[in-house]
Amino acid sequence: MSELLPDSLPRGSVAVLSGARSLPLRLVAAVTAAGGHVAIVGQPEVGLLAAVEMGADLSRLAVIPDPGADPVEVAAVLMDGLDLVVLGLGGRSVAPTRARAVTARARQKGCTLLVVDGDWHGASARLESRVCGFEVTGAGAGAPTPGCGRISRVRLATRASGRSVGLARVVGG
Amino acid sequence: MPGRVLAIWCMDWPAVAAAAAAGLPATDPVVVTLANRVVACSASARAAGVRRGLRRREAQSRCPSVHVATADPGRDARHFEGVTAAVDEVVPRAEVLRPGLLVLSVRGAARYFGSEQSASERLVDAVAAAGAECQVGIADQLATAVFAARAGCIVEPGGDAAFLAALSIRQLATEPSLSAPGRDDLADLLWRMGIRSIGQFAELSRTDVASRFGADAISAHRFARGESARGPSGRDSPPELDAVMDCDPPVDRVDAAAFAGRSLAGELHRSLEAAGVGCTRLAIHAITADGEEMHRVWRCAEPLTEDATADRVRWQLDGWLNRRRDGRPAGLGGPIVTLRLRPVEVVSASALQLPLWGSSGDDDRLRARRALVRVQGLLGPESVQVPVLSGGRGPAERITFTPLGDEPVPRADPGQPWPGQLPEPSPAVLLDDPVELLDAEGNPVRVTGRGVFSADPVRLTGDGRSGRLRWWAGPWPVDERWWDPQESGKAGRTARVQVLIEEPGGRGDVVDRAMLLCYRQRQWFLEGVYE
Repeated sequence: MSELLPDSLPRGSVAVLSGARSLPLRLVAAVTAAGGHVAIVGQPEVGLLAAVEMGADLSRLAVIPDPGADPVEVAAVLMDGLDLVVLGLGGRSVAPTRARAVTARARQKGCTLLVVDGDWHGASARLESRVCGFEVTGAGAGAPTPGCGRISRVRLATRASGRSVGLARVVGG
Repeated sequence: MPGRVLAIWCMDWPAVAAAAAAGLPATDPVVVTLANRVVACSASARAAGVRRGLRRREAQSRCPSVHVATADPGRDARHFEGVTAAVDEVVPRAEVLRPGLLVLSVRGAARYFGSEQSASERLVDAVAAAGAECQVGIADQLATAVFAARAGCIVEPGGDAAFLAALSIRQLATEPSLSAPGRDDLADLLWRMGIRSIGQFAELSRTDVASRFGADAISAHRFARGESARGPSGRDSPPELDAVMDCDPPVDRVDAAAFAGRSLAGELHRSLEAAGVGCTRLAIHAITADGEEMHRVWRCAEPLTEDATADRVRWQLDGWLNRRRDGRPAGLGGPIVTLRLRPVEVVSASALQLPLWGSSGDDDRLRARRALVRVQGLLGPESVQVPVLSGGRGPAERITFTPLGDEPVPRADPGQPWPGQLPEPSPAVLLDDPVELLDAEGNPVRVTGRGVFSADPVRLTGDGRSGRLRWWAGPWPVDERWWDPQESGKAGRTARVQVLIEEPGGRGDVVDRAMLLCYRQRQWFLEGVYE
């Protein structure tokens, strides 16, 4: 993950994330651990304990579970002061003119915008992650025996594409 | 004897100001609405059956001739300027609590006019001459005087507590300029606890109130006992906190005044921040081109923010400049050349600064906090939540959310041992959807009193999440709250299970989904998804 991110998401860019929802949490954990401030907008279902286990610093994190009728506006306001804004669009789409204005604002303020659960016209990077398997410990070799063990790891395959990452490539995580 | 306080209360001030703005006589029915609800109505509208909190359409149906205006604090403040000027003619140095409510020290006036009674008569006459109706109340304490004004009576010296004792506990929250936000909830809570009058509340011991209801309740309790309403934290500020601006060219338009007010408020707050204090009482001075000086004090329940200061300066200048334009005899001689903001009462800024982003006081933290406070201003105080790690066993209860601005206190201590806590990793998505867990025959699977399945689970069915179980682990019973009859009766037996579900993938293959299920109240819930 760390090998993928620094060059694919420069400050002030907009990225669309899709697939497994632990990918945005991983980014949130990385940014807060490095001393940045993060807001998560419009994602009431986010499991922050998972972010803590990935190394997130909760004191640098704020959550706006219900951003009202216009989550994009809220994200645009937050760009003033935060280093990373995770915006859940809830399946809604954003008009290209609006998206262009907010993208310009993100670039000017040096705030990275991650769009999840929706599409963003003109995003500079697109990251798609897919669960490719679960590791179960203590359930015997081979196929896990029902009734024994516990889930110990989630394997993700992340695929990044877009202008700022150049060619598409696949990284296991 | 401590200094007696006189309060002048202009009832239904928003409605009176709206009538004046529309050029209607004060006897016409007027309602002021905010978000389609009546927030103030005139006496004639009330006689027709209009009440606060009604919907606008309902108010119009009860009183068809009513004039409807939307709420506008600027308009209220602008029209109140005439009243404060009239009061100043009789007794100088009145303080504005909010448009419609003035307080002043009555000691000198009572001596000058002979008695408190005659001083208050003079004041009522002066306000009536300015075109407004008012009631006057006198008491030892500021807050009691406001309630005495609502009742239109003079409280004997030392009789504050006895006067307040008879009032309903709901009255605690009726005056927003005297109470911090959240006083409504306190009054409601006390009512539900069977405390129906302010007197009953005053009888509670201070320690009991402080340990159960928090900081705002202490100030409410001091008020209920007729003790000094303002805590000893207020102190005289050093004079170098003043912010002064020489206006060149002189300000004679409202928009120019608004700009001047904003930059001056920024300057004031930088000096306040440097001194580590917040302002709760702000004096606004203005000097006109003709050498006339004007002075007004604004008082607030909470320390002023920069925007709140700028608003007050704008309202005040708006009032002064418009009064001048009306050509009243008491008006200004010319445009404003010097503007001065003086923090009259300051409190330690620890009341303003909350340890939200750790202890380091860096710029980033303030920048982030400002952005979040702006969102709070857009969406409401509860909208921005700050997470803090808490103790507990399930993934959801191990994070406590507190609104930004409150102290982030976890519900339970995360430092304690929590046997039965789920190990890493935690689900990335937290849900709470009812699902069904079925055995091979299609019968629902339960968790028995011994903490095992009634039968091996085979299928999961639920809203869009059905599939065959490829693997499961558990049940892991959660043994908590059994000593508490109320809690355990509600929660019942609780256990958690991890399952792997086979679901059809996008390209025709079968993919696994890992989920965390929770059994409680004899029902399975999908608690989280690992992904």
